[in-house]
Amino acid sequence: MTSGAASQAPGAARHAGDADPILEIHALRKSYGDFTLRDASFSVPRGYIMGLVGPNGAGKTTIVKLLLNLIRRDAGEIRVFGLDARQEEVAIKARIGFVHERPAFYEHVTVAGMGEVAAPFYPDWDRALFRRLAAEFDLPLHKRVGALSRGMRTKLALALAMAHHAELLVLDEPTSGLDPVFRRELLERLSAYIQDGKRSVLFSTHITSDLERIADYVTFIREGRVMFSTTKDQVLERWGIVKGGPEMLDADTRRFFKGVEASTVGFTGLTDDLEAARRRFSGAGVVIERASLEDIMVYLGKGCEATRTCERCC
Amino acid sequence: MLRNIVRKELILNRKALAGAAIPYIAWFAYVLREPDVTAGEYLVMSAAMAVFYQVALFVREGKLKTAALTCSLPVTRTVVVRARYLVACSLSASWIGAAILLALACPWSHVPLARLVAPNTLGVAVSIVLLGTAILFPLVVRFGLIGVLAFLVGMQVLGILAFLAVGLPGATASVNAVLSFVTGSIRALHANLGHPGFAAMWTFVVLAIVAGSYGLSVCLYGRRDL
Repeated sequence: MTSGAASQAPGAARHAGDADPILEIHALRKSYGDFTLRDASFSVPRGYIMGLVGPNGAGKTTIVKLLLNLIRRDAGEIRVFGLDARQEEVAIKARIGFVHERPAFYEHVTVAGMGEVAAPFYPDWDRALFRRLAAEFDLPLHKRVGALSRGMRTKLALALAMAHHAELLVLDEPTSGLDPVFRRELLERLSAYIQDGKRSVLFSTHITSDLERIADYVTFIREGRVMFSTTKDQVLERWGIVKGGPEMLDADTRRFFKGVEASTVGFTGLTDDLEAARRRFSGAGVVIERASLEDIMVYLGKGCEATRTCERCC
Repeated sequence: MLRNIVRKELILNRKALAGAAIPYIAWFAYVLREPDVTAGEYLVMSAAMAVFYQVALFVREGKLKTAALTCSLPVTRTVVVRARYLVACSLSASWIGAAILLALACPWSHVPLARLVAPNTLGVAVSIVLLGTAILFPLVVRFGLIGVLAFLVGMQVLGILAFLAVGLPGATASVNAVLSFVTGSIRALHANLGHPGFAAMWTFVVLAIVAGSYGLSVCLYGRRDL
């Protein structure tokens, strides 16, 4: 748990949305040719970091784009700061900092020039803060954007997003092009960003270790469905991995799991009820351990097609 | 916000504007050497070039994939489109002004200034700019460079068909009739713009077409997924 969240005394039974929500998404739906986001619902409380996690193509970027009206929703509702995201688009965007998964800029413009272009749009733009962030991110102000590497562009996008004291940072895969040193630094920065309890971060990623380090809440998406949205602590306490021999894996056992991977030497099953797993398999010669977010991403839904348990886990 | 978007477009595109202006100016300076080019022809060519000059500017957004950047700013898409029409018309006006100044500045120019700034000649040039913008902008807004290329290819295909049709028995007259209609219309427009009643009616028609184009562009840009 990050210090920002800890300062508000979160408990194990805390649910996303119990606190003052800075972002509320309800029954959001969007269809492309071969992809459908199905009735996605979750909320981000003020003062916390929400991790939006799922495999590639799960729908994370779709949600982020819908939030910013970069694509049109088919159905559902999005409220940011209590305002309707479509009707109050300008007022909302003035209070949001956004980092695109592949930040695109005009190539010939300098880092300082991008700051000058963005500044008039934001009433709370802080020129000194932008320059300070650029210096801290090792971004030369007079360097052309075209000469920046992908990681440096992401840093520029982060500086632009943070320089107007955004109340909500929306980051779409921000760490994927960054070196490990800056990645660690960014995560610490994000933890510090929410310290005042007034600002939040929505952090979309498939790098689960980043979320385990800083997220207070986790919303897990798979194939366009929100599988769960809850506190990270609750996920790590309740979800587990069970490893056992192949002889134990009958149809009944398979149904117990949210996902299972079997081989000739044994099986690995994912459960969302660690206590029930302990009761069920106690003394059966299995290994039971807590699941990481990566375990959940890897095993959730795995093998369910074969066992026809999709109605439970998918 | 409109002012901020206009400012953004000009700052982000200023190098492209300067880069494109140099060959345009060189070409027009060359055209001014031709003794057969009339003031009307010179200004009509300038107007046509002006349309493509500003369209070329906005297709860069598709090339650089910066539409998401623009639309993530605190501004509505309607304002983005409005700013682009405003920038396009301002640039075109500047371009026509530059063409007139060029004719004045070039010592080898055969084009008399008095004819260049005649209201009806200017009226034809402005009409071409506005109608060209009205036709091309919805394509640019929706399809970017592909839209402009499709338009140009379509015009080329029409030209090729006309060229081929001239060789067919009986078709020459039809092609010539179409060409005569186009040139005759421009001449008639040029002549009639001197009459206040016609000028007012024509202004209304052109502005209505631009308004329709703007409405269509707003609708198309608003529906575009980025």
